[in-house]
This record gives sequence, C-alpha cells and structure tokens, in this order.
Amino acid sequence: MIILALESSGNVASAAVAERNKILAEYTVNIGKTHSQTLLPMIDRVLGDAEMSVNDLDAIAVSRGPGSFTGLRIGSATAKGLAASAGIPILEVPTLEALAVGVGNAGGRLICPVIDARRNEVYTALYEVCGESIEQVGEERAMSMEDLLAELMAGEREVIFTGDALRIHGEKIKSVGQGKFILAPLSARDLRAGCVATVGLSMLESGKAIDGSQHSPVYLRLSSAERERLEQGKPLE
Amino acid sequence: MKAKDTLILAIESSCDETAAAVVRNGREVLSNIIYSQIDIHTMYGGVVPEIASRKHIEKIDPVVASALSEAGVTKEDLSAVAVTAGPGLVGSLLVGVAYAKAYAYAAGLPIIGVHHIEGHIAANYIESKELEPPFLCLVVSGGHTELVVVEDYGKFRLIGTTHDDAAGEAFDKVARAIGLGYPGGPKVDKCAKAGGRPDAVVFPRGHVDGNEFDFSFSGLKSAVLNYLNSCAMKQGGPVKDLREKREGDANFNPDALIDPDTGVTVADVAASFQEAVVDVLVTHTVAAAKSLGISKVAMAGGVAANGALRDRMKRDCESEGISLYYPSPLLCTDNAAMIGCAGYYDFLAGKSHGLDLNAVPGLGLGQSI
Repeated sequence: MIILALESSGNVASAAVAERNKILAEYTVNIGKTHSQTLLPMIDRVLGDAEMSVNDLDAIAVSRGPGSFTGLRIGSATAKGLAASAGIPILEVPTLEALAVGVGNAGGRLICPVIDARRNEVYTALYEVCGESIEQVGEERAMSMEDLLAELMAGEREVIFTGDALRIHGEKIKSVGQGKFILAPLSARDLRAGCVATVGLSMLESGKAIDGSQHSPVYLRLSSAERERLEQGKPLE
Repeated sequence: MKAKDTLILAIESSCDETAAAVVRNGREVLSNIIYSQIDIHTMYGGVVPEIASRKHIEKIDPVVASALSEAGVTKEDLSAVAVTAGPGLVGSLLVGVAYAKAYAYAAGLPIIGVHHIEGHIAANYIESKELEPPFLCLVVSGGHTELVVVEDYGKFRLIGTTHDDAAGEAFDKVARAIGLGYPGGPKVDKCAKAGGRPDAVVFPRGHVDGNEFDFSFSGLKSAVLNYLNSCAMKQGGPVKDLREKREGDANFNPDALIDPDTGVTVADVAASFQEAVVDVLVTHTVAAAKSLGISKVAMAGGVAANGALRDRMKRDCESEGISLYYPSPLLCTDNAAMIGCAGYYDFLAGKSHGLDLNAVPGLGLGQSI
C-alpha cells in the first residue's frame, strides 16, 4: 500500500509519499508562492526521492478542506488529474482531522484545530484521542473565535489548540483560557502532507477510497453570491 | 490510430464552460465536450467566479472522460495535453491548469499552456481547412475586442483593441438595461430579429483618436442608457422599474413600447444598438484589411456568432473582394477543440511548459506563458 498525500488548503504546500508504517519522503514549504507553481514540482521531487513513479501508487490522499477555496481546488484538481491518468482512487482526508493527528498525544485534553477562515471566523472541530485512533466530537464548523472560546470555557475539558489561526488568535486563547487552554508546538500548527498521509492510510485500510470523479472539496461555506441570494430569500436552484 | 498521428487532449476552463476535446493533427476534432454552467450564472445576472470554480472541479473528470471515450482513445494514444493558461478568471483557469498538468505528468506527456484568444483564432482552422496565415482576425467576445494580424502559426500582431468595454460586455449591459437579462449577445440578437428596426434610433459610433483601428463602446452604452432614461422620464417613471418588470419574464414582448410618442419598441432599441456595434466592428475590420493589403479576414469569439455581425461582415467583405472565415456558433463560444488546435501548432513548433505552469489571468496576446 503506497500513497501520495497532498496538502494545499492554506499557505503551506506539502507532498508526501508513504507506505504502511513509513513516511518515505515529505516536502513542505510555506514561502508564499502559489500552489499552482509549487505543488506538482514538489510531487515530482518526493516521488523521485522515494524512487517511485505515479504508477507505483495505490491511491492519492488529498486534504479535502475546509480551507482556502482556491488552495483546496489546486490540491483537488491535481489529485483528480493524477488519479484519472493513473487509474487510481482518491482518499478525501478531512483537513481538521489531519491537523489534530499532528498534535499526537494530547494528554487527555480535547484537540481543537483552528484554521483562519477570514471574515473574523475560523474553521474548527473537536477531536478526542481514543487509544491509537482519533475521533471527531461534533461537527466541522465555521464560527467566530469568541463564540468558540466561550463554548469551550463553559465545558469541563482542558483543550489543546493547533492550526494556522494560532498566529492570529494564540495570545487571546491563552489569556481567555487561564491555564485551561494550551497551544500545540509550532511544528504541529501548519499541516504537513505526512499527517494527511497518516489519515489517508487508515482510510485506505478501512475501504474509504473513492473514484476521483466523486471528489469535491469541502468548503463549509457558500460563495458570497449564494449567501446574499439566500439572505434575500431567493432559492439557490 | 496511425503511428504518425498527433493526438492532443485539450482542456478549457477559463470562464463558465468546462470543456475537453481530442483533436487529431490540429484540425480534425474527434470529440468536443462542453459542460455549460450558463443556467446557474443566469440567476445571478452574470458569471460568479467562485461558483464557476466550484462547478469546474465537479465537472472536470466526467468532461475529460467523455472527451476521451467519445474520441475512442486512451491516454496511451495521446501525444500531448494542451490547456488554456489565460486570460480568464483565475480560479476557473487554475482548475483546468492543475488538472491538465497532473494528467499529463502521470501519463508522461508534454503539457502545453495555450492562450485563450489564440485558441479562439485557431477555431477558424477547424472548419476552414484551406485557411492559413497570414490573415486578419477580429476577436470579439465578452472580454475582448481586438484586431489581430495572424502573421504565422503562433505569431500575432495586435493592431487594434478596445479602450474601455469589450463588445460582448456592451451587449450584456444593454441587454440588462432593456430587460433581456444575461447573456446579452444572443438575447439582443434574437430580440432585434423580432421586428427591430436598426435605424429606429441613431446611436453614436465610437472612435478613438490616434488609432483608427481601436474601439470604444462605453460612449455607445451610455447613449443607450441615457436614451432609455429620457424615455422613462417622459412617462414619469424611472427606467429601473421598466427593467425589473421585464427581467426574467418568460412572456417577454419585443414590441413593448420604450417611447410611446415615437413608437420605438424594445426590439427597435436592441436592433439600433446592435447596428451601431456591428457598424464599428465591420468598418474598422475592412479598413484595416484594406490598409494592410490583407485579402483574408476571420472572426473569432462569442460575439462572432452574432447574426447581424456575420451578415454585415459578409456583405462588406464581398464587396471589397476579401475572403471571410468564421467558425460555426458552437466553435465561436468557449470550447476545448480550439485549444487543441492552437496547442497542436505549438506542439509542432516544439513549445511545451514545465510542471510549474501557472494560470495567467491577465495574459496579453502574443505574450509568452
């Protein structure tokens, strides 16, 4: 079982080749270049370093969102093109879950990934480490940081936060939390393709691979034109 | 397939059509699949970029798969993959570019980024097998109004362009103002044909000082809007009310009066506006061909499907002894066959791109990708 994993849902572009029990090669940059220019050369590089070609792959794992609309589509279109050409399936890896996996041992805390969603909101969900696996608690949501923190303060559990939104909200989280909230180490806050591969491999083993044509990113948000239409009480179809 | 055949898989996603085609030896279209999103965007009165991008991601797999199966080929038969790299909507372009690059990479094929407008021009080669450069081409679409000398395959010289609105844009804006809705080009054309008099209202013909082959349509658009406003004022109501009453009306009546005093109807305004646009486009094109001594003229782009433009261009070219070429309406609108055709000539010239090929939304004609 060998997979290629792709992450381009935010500022990071990352690609990894992994087999069962081993990440063979991984490459990550966060340098502000467009994913359109960096992602495919990066794929060529990790496959080359792993001494493989697309034909050796069993599936493509792609970070399926939520995240930057355009970034997600570059990852999805790349994954779809590779999958269609090589005749292999796609694994839709929830971006928030892959981020949570990157935290590792949470010491009994809930894991709360937060991705900057602009418009003063974050994309978020809660995860719980259960033995060797990780379980999502509740829904994936787009919401304001204030509402999220208020909700978590009202709960019993201690929480470890991760994700790129810590660059904006890290200090606030700590000051609101008064010791109840802690931040994941820097190395875990930006999603790397190795984490996408980790989730992807377990999805492959549990038979969750799908045909590439069935895959679309999960945005969690409508386009602004659709939102305005709904606000005017008009239907979308 | 014969061993020497060059087969190109082409992908186009620059605006609101997801399209793929397989083209043999540049001019033979084996398949030409177009998924149009027009119904969705019509609800919003124009193309919504984010919705267009989302639809492209949903449709690109089935569209490419259909193009290959309808052509009866597999990736092993292909010589290269061509894709529109620009100009266009960046989010839309990126879907096609990323997909095409990945497809080509996994198949071990060269990737060729194609200029969208060079594709429109190349659409003429598909049905007119005898057409070869040099010729003059009028490119008219929702985003472009350009006079281009096609000196050779892949070699273009821009001799005239619009200083403000593209011709298709003017059609869209006027269509909206008279209550026809989106897309403006075909709707104005149809409404004008329903008994509209091209000489009912004389609208200004825009000229640009300094370059006789350049275009300007914003003055014309304003003149139409001012005319509608003045008619509405005479009837004591703002023009907005008239428009909203008509917009989306299935029982739209082209004989509805705009000005009861003179009997000018909606169809008259459509026909008179169209006449002004067509007059400028044809006059400039024929003048440019004569002044440059070019005996072949082609048209390309969505507005080249306009009936009034085709008729008038034909008449004026015939009387000047100029041969005229234009693609059938399907090949005038955005499609991938034209990208495969343009990509073929790039392929012959040994042109291809790296894995870092990017979408270039503002790509100028003749600018290298």
